[in-house]
Amino acid sequence: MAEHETVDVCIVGGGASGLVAAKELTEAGMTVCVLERGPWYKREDFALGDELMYRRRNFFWPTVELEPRTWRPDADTPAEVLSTKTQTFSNAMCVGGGTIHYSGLSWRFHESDFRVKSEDGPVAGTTIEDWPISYDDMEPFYEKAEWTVGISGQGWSSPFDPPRKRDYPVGPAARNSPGAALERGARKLGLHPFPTPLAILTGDYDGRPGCIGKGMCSAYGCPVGAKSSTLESLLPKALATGRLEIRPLCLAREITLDRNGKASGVTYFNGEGEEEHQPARLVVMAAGGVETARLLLLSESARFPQGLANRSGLVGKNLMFHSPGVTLVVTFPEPLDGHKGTSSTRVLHDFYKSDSSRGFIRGGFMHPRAHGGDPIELALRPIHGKRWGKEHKDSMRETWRHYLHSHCTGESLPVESNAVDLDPDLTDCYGLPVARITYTSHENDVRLATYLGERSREIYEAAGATRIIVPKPETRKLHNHQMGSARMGNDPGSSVVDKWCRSHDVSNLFIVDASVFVTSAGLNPTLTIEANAFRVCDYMVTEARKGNLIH
Amino acid sequence: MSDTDSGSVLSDHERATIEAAAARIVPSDEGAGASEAGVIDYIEGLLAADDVDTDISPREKKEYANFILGGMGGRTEEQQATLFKLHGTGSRHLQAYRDGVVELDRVAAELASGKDFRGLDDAGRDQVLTVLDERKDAFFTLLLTHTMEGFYGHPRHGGNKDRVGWRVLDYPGPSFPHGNEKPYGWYDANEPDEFVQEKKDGSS
Repeated sequence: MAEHETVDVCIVGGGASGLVAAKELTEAGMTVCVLERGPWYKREDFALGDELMYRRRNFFWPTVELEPRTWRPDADTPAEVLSTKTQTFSNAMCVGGGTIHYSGLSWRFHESDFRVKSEDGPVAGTTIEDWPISYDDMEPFYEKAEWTVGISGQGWSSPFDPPRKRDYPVGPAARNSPGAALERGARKLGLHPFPTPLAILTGDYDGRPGCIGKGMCSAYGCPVGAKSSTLESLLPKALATGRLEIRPLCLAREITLDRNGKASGVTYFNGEGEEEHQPARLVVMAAGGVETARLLLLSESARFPQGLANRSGLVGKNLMFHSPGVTLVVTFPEPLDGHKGTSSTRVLHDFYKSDSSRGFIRGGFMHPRAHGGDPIELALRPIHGKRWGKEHKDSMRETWRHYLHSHCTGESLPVESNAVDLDPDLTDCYGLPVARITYTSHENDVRLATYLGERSREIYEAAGATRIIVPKPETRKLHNHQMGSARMGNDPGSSVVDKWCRSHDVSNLFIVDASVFVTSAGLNPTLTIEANAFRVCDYMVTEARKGNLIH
Repeated sequence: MSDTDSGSVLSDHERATIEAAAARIVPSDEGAGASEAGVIDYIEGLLAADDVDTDISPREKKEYANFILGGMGGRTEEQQATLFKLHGTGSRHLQAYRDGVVELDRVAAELASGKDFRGLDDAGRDQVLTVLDERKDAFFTLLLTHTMEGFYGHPRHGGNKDRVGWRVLDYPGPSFPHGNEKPYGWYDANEPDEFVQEKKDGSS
């Protein structure tokens, strides 16, 4: 097996958190190697405007034949192999990860999101806890993330937002018609829509250009460079240090240990499918809420028979995918022309605050979307009366310029049996057991999703919609929001990492992705992932300078 | 392999039957339908890709992925087409289509005393497709999905010729590199906006 030269830090995963760590640690003088299982696309690779290739083929995601995952609702039901459709509703596997194709909604979690048990708990069937950190601990790093990654928005425009000291670096995105339609309905009902904070530049910033409103935004990479993916905003800075090596197409298979039980590096399959070993003084896991847990479980040893850093037995458990929808389809009498502009420009947080009198705790929000220009997606939606023929074609004509889809995102409560483990019956093309997901939404999540769907219906009725389709809550099998599977806490018996996201069991192993989230909040997680990674790296650099980390 | 001289993976009868079925899924009316869009060419392209050996090893898979590594911007049309096909591999549809044509003819013969699918008029063809649709036939769903892809998808894959599928929707197609000017639609033009976009100097 090829043995590389030792680096200070080996980071597994080059997505949201991995590239934050790559930038921060190289700028602090450390040598870093990032192992990324997917390819390294460049800005110009996203230029083709091709729904078929980017959305409906395996441009961003491995095929289910080569790298499948399985799902079951509970431990008593046999697992099924996830379909291509489900598999592709997940974070891209490429440099930049999910930040390449996300819609860019960039939230600070609210103060109460860090103390769910104190505010609302305990709740039967859940493992809700307070985070070992507070909003105040995170606030400086939210600001740092907003200004380093490049977030657009209008500070203090939401009456529900947590306190901030500084505005966003660039102003909010141009309002699209789905956003204006939300405002029309919401204002009639006395609600408080406000501009979506987005990882999309609206003017020149940090050497990148502003958005040109081209559409094809959510689920697509940005050929303009306006979307603030970590590929665009952070990677160039990390590379400029000369201390980063990024290795695409390299799939980590095991974190290796030295004889003292500290991490000694990572073994991986290179682009030729051959095994190599990267020795490192520190190992940082940033592979996302499913694959980080899988790699820890794959890294079992005599010292860690349950999987690495898993003396608590909690690696893989308490997985959270957010509440199960719902996504409405709404049509309006006048054209929305949703193929133009960014996807989300106005949102509503009036239903975010927890209120147990509604029959559930916690909350969420609504965000109508411009569809971006995906006619195949629309053609295959079950909203046309008939699936084919003249009636279907006429429905496509009537709908195309006039529809929006409106997402509800809500908190999902942690449930210990919702988990990632290793499938005993199925291996991937490398011969490794695949991730098996066991997941059923808690009843509270289902009630919340239903509630947000009904409130959305009222808003679009008030806005004058001609047709409002509110589906039932979904069965969540996989999601691009993957949180909780290696939770942080002060007690090594009930958490995987400490408040600095350092393994309780292995002192030179850190986890910086959303696995460490204690609860999910009802908000898109990426900015919190990035802010937390900045916070953890700040600690790592301080400790390293004291000689406490790297000897 | 093909039993024709055209190099197609389908026989003339198979090709004509699939084309006729697609033409009922997206019929021609005052606007173009699947026939004018060349949906059959799109489908045949997919099936030809299926005909290559997709039972690839991790090493081969990595080689395919490496193909992307240098960026697609500088690739030729032919290279991009190959890339697309490789990314589409992993499911073999050719046999499903062959069996599907046999099934279309079998149901047609049942409903119309011995005629094959192509021998029916539009109403008869719709009747056959409805039978398959109502019993949730897997081939029908495949054909329907590929027909929508070939009609509404990007012309670079062989369907949606001259953007006729997008014209049916009054959709100008992907706007990059030009983008779009405000207003985008009726509602952002007409609904008062209390949050006026301001561009700040990001240097502070």
